[in-house]
Amino acid sequence: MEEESRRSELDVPVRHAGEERACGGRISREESRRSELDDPGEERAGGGRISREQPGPPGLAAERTTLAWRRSGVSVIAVGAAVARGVPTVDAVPSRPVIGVLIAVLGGLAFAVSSRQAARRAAAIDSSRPTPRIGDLWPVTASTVLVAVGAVVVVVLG
Amino acid sequence: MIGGGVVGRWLTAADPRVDGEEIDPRFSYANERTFLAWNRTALALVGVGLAVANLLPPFEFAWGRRMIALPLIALGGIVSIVSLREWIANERAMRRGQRLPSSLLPLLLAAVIAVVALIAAIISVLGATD
Repeated sequence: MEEESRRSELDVPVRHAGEERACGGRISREESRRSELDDPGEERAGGGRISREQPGPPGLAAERTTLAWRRSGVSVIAVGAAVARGVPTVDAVPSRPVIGVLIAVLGGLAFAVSSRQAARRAAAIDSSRPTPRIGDLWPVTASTVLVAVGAVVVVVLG
Repeated sequence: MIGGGVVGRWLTAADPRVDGEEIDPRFSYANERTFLAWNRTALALVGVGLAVANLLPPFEFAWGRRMIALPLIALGGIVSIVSLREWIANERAMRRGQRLPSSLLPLLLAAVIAVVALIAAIISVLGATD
């Protein structure tokens, strides 16, 4: 019952092209299994709101996405550390520690963003709140490009 | 796309939520994970480029290792930027109920890696120190 009510809360219009390819088959099988098991009278009482078009239970998409963010944060730290290791030390300027701290901050930011997003996603999957905006994603590209530029400098100078 | 103000304006204009309808979050998450996976690929390319430059013994060519390392690192940066653009395009297409656009990245990745492999082969044959 709890499952059922959660499902009807996820009442979002699904009409894009990716649906069939992404998980349409799995969900429609799930739906047909459901309509066999559920009490048909109860389905009608819902005003026909639960149709075959509607998505199935939320699954673990939010968790998978959070873990993908964590992996990405770790990757930034790892490659950033490799860049920092190659940075030549200029006279009296402790450039390696400074850059090491910068990279730790970058990785920490990635983790902070991922945690905030995890909370938002957990809320969204239940209430179909808005999907991410570009501000949530461009910092990833910015840190990757930053690491790449650092790597070019290190390779050319080293 | 280059320069602070231009980047800021581009990012504002590029937000996929400006039009279309809200979509099933799971499709959006799949798009987000694809973006993150491409960025890890990009970081791996940068890492391999660094490893080539720092860990390989030098070739007889002055820029031997760099000829392998720099294209890989540059590819990493480009993959990251293109993947952000593709995330936007996918998100937009889903919100508008259109077909998902095709991805440029597999071809880009294959082409550059093939070129780097060719460079590496030529350098190895002509310029090995032993």
